[in-house]
Amino acid sequence: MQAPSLNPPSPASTSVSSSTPPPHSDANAGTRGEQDTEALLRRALPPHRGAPPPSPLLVRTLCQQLGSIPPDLRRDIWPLLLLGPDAYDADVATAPSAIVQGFSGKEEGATAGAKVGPHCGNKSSPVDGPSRGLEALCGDDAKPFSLAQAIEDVPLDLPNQRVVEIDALRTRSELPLFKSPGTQAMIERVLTLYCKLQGISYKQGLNEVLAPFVQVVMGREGGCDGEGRRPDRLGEGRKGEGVGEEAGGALQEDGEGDGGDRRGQGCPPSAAPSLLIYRCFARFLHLLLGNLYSDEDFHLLQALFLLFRLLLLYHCPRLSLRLDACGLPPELYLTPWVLTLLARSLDMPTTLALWDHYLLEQDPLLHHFLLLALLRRHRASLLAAPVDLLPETLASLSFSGTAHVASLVAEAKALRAQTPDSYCRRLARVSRTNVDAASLSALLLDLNAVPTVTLTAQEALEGVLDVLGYGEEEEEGGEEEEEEERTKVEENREEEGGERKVPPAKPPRRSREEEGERGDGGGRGEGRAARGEGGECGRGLHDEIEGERGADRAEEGGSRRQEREEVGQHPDGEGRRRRSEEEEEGEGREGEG
Amino acid sequence: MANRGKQGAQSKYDHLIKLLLIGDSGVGKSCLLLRYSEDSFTPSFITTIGIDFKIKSLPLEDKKLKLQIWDTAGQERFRTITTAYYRGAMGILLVYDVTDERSFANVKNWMRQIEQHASESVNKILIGNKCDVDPADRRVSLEQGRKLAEEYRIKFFETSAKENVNVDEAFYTVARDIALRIDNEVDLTASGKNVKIGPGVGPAGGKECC
Repeated sequence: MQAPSLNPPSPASTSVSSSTPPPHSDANAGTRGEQDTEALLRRALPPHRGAPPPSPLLVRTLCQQLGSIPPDLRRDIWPLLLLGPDAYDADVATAPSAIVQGFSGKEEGATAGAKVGPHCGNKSSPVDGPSRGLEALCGDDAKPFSLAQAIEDVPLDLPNQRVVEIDALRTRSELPLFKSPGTQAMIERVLTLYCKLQGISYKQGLNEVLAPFVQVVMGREGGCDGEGRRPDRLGEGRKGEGVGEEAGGALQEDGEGDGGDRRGQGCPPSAAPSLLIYRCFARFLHLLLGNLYSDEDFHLLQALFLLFRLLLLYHCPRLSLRLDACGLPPELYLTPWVLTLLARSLDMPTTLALWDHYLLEQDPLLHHFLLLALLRRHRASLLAAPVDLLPETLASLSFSGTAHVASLVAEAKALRAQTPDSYCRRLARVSRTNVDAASLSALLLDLNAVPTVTLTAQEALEGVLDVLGYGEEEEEGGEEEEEEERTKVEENREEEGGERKVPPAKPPRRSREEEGERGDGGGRGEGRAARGEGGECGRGLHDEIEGERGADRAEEGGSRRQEREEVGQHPDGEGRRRRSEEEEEGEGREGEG
Repeated sequence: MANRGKQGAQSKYDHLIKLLLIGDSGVGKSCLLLRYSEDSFTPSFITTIGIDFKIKSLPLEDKKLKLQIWDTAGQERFRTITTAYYRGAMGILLVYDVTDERSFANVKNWMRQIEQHASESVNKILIGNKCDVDPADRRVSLEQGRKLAEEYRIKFFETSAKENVNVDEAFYTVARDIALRIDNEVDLTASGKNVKIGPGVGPAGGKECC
């Protein structure tokens, strides 16, 4: 049961605040505190043999407070965060009956092993195709199924086994660990078994998602490098304890050495790493990518493209329009980013640092917003790149180092907070959609009906009040009424218009950046309403809200704007006046960007 | 603003030529591209997922060509996504691996993809990669490759990204053919316009006169 690790830490359960901690780079403020936190972590991890494992919730909260996961502790923390307390269960390799159930297509049970069963439910009868030969692995009644054994014995006979074989050879092949034939063979077996147990065909990208787990479990220093393996110091005691006051290398080495040794004692050396890798990999995929890889034709991925385009249009309209104009829709750059959670684009230490956050947050949407943040960060260069170089520039976007990771994650979270909840819910639904024909066509119908990011009435109202400078208290007044009916703004136009007629006390000016982003979104839904009503105050407000989008449209999206204005039937003169205002504002903004 | 710079950069070349590399997974598309664009080779390339891009300038007589080369994922599973890539492609390099019969057999499937999704006028070329291998490891002969190319009436090269055999030639050939085609099309369009000015005389009429 890993339920605790899936929920956000409750403040009551620990003295540590659950709010986002200051990033790790903020060294001055929290040095002492961070050391204490880290010392706490190191005291808890890895657990003594026989001792109960630390609560994943506690570990997670401590890491969040720390702003990251200490690299040398990843090997203990990642499994704990993903698999819960039974990550340490040495017996997990044997007889989890739920796995056997997985073979016959039943739903996953509650035991530890169930996590490797067919999470996706919908593809859970792998009797034909990729799952050939599973019966042999299942054993008979007398011999219970062993996942560790299955990893060792899995027949390498997928229909596209050759691709798996090639990919195993070229996964992170720049790192020494991955050059070893043993590692490559293990990667091929894990990938093959995963596909068989899930009843899916092998798809490229799975290998890249697997690699960080191989590095974390089998590499040294939680994957910061792949070489310099020191001989295991078997039999040494817990050295990592209480060394929190020391910083840097010495501390890491001690902790890491111990971690490795203890793991070596706990499990059979050959089977255990691959078992742990398998379980973490399967769980991680399920958590962050849902059914994306179960979908044989990548319909869900295409649905994500559609939604991402809307998101980009919402937050960075000018960039979105430029990419569209240059023939670069998300189809052309998003595939590797989404399918490998950026693993393919980042060096190993950066990938691990980023995934630390993904594991701590366990929020599948974070990745989408991180991609948005990445594009936003490179907005200037993407807007400036000549059209012939644009695809290459876009495809090679990358970043390196933990500082970049921390700031991008922070930006991603901020962007998420500025995105209408209705959009986030829609996005969250996509990767969980069952991949049967009926669900897929329903999904596509749903998405095709969404020409833009839509707001619920509540969100629109909040946005208005926010812009007007009313605090949270005022919002709550409307919330109760609005919450019942979550409909698109357009449908509530009249009501909205009424709200807007609140005298526009000049709001305290927000930072331009923020204004552009929020207003951008707010404007999309609200704009129409405002235009429909055409009230004086509506316009002032609208100008305020329009922000960056106005500028973008002024430059690139003239036709689109015209469309919108037709929709809103805005008086001509006013429209023109606004346009010129927007352009002016846009120019200013662009200078800043 | 930022876009103004684009104009300047665009004028640095006469044609921007979009090429597409397709073929089964592992036949060496990315390696060919790396050899061509950066003149280097690595035996352990990473898997292409979705699509990758490279740009290469190519002088051709008095013209400057810019090749924008789209390197696609070979895996069949990506096909639903990759169809988007065919749009706007001016040339397609269809690659198989001379040590892998299946990749050769799949050429016909790839040709079907091209027919379905690419424009009719797209220039195609067939490439048998890894021709540096030991003859004992070879599964597809030069003659088989040549014959298949003849069947499809397209040009054919055996290449080695590893030993840098015929790589430049293959890219150059397809780029040159495309440049010629574009120039012809431009000429045709221009002459077509002229004809239109004279009332009632289409290109067909012109032919009859001759």
